[in-house]
Amino acid sequence: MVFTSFVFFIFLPVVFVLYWFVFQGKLKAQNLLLLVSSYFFYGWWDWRFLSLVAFSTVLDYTMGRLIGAQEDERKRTWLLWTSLSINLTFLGFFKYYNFFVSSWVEAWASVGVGMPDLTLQIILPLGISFYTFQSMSYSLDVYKGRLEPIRDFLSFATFVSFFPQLVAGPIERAVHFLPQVVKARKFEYQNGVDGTRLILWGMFKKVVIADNLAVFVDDIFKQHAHLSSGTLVLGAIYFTVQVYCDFSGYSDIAIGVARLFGFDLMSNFRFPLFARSIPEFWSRWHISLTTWLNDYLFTPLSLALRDYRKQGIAMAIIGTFLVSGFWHGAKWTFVVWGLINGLLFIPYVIKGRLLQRAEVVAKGRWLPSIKEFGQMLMVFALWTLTLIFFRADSLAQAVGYFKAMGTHFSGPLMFKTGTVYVALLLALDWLNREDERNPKVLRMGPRGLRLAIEVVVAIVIFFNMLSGYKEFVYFDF
Amino acid sequence: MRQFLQKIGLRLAILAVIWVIFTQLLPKHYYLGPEYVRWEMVFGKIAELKSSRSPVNLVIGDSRPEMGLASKHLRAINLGLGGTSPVEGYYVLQQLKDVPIDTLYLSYSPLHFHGQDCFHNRSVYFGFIDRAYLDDVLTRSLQAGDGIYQWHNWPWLDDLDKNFPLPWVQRQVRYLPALHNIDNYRWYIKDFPAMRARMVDNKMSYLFESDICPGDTSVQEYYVEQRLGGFSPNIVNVYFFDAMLKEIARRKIHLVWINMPLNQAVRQPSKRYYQDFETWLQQQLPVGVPYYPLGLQDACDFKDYSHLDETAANAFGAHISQWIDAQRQP
Repeated sequence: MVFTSFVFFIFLPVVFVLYWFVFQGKLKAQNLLLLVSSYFFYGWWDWRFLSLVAFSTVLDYTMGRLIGAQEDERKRTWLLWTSLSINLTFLGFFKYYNFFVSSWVEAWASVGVGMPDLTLQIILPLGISFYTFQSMSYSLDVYKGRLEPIRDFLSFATFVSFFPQLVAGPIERAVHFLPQVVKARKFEYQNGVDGTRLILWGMFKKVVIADNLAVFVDDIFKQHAHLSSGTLVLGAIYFTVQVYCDFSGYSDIAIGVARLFGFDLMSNFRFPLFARSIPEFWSRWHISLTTWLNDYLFTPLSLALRDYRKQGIAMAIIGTFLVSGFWHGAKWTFVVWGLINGLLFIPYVIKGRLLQRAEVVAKGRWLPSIKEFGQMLMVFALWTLTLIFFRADSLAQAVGYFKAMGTHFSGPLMFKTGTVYVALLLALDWLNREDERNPKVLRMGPRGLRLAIEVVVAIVIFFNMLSGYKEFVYFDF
Repeated sequence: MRQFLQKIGLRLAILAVIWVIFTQLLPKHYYLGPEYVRWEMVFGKIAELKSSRSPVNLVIGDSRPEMGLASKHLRAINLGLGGTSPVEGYYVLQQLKDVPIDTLYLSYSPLHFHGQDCFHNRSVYFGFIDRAYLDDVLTRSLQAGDGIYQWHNWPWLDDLDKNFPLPWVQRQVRYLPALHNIDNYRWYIKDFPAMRARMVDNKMSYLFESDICPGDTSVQEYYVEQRLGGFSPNIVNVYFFDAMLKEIARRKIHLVWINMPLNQAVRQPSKRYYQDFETWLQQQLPVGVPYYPLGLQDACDFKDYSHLDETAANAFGAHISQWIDAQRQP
């Protein structure tokens, strides 16, 4: 089931009513309802893959208990590696098996040796990268001693499968989310209002901005060989805004829905298109994955490589970004995308300016300074160029796109109407930029105006939903 | 919680009121677009003809005669409707059961014997085919084991239409998905008067304005018939075509079959398909029916890949008129 489908608008009120009116004050019953609803939500796509979610849950619950009970450090480490290996084997089989086999066959074919093609017809289970990383974080946190192993299986199963963020994040940490699952929850008016507004704003970004831009992007990437450089630049910009609205829209809806049930999910996007440097960009983009990789991969790697000083940090960054690229998909385009993003960090490693916090841009001012504007423009341009690899179906297509951009010199001749969506998003996001969890555009002005804005936004979303559903980009990951 | 629910309830109520205003009070041609308006005009004309007791000549068929046959040259009223097949053709004939029809120019593209693409989303959705006739078509389709007419974009709407007793609620739900086309109102206000005047002037032919030759764009266009192998008519279409022919014979209507010209650019790859079609069609038609064969025409005469432009439609109408005269000479 997806958030922007009509069936979700039936599902959500039903679960909400049962949760707050039938099971109010009964924590176990509420958690059981969330678990059943989450499995129903996931099973709506393909019930067969529920077994994978269940397996992941049982595995990490058991391993967490065993690691927690074990005092021998070697055995604890062995248990952790067992847990990680099994999780990653499942992920690897469903997501990467065909990639490795076909790359192997192609590599041998390039030197004239024929190998049997052993690729399989494998369906990529929805959200497998997200829930695998989420449940792995539990074993890791228990191992690190950041969290006591949980005894209540129902609460743990609810944490792994919580439907608002099950298929596309934010990837919650056990240390942040599990305490909320085991604690009694009370409906709070402001939480409900803010959550509903966030759902509305997320829907707007996904259905109105991302889905409309997707039409231009698909056409431009398909026909890139015949289009002018100006149109191709527009195509790349459209994709930047599309993927941002698509994914951050999903995250906003997830956070909003979770609030309706009394949960607080972590922020996943903090206006990344206004970042003024590459490190700042990565503290604003897909925060739940970036911090996950930072805590469980970059930090141990950089510690292991600390003797090499700045070179060691650079290697740890590039290694982390390669994993990040590979996490996104089993394609060389993602690997190259990850590598380029890692390389873009190198100047900051040299200058020793790796840590840059995502502060509000131009706080208290209407417009950024010229310097800030120039910095934002540069980061936006670099990110847009890297995303050509992210969007391309193959390396050849990405290279062809760059080639056409560099040779077919001419202004944008077609698809110019997409700029309206880009301008609209940037303007609205600029207004919202002080708080990603409470969009200002939906709480401006007097009560009557707010009501009118909400109704108009709902109608615009509804009309756009009627013109056809487009899948969330991050469902492929 | 109460305050929250009140807040949500208020917004839902406002949306519901807007929805009702849109679907109940707004004229359908504001959001159903030009195709609906064409259908509305054709069915308006049918209603007007019902009271006629003097003989009339008619053109019945799909969009190719609707747009490509200037019926004023034949002194005939053009009731062609885009995307239709003999299923709708028979319905139109039934609507005009008391009208004396002198000559009927019948023309469907092979594709509309082969399948259906607009039965549910135009004929039924626009509300021009009545429930009993729809049930008859679906029952025959089911009995014949046909999947083409059973397939439906919105089966739940069909169920709702059938089972829900309040017609005005049916209408809310039925036209809800079309509301996002509300910007059609600009077309209706700005361009529809001219369209209506042109149709009236042209005896209901819906002519495309002539343009400069579009070059090789027609060649580039995707065209579904190119993808088909041999011709094999759909069982439901054949049933209703047969019913039409029987009705025409019973009422002693002069039938003329016209194959609309094919775009030279698209015919070549699927020659066999058209040959099969003509062989089959000639076996179906009664002996002695004037039969205008399939022919090719230059891509420049088409406004798009399958419809003649205004100049070519007038030339073709005049040509058919002369051809009929020649047929009638002893």
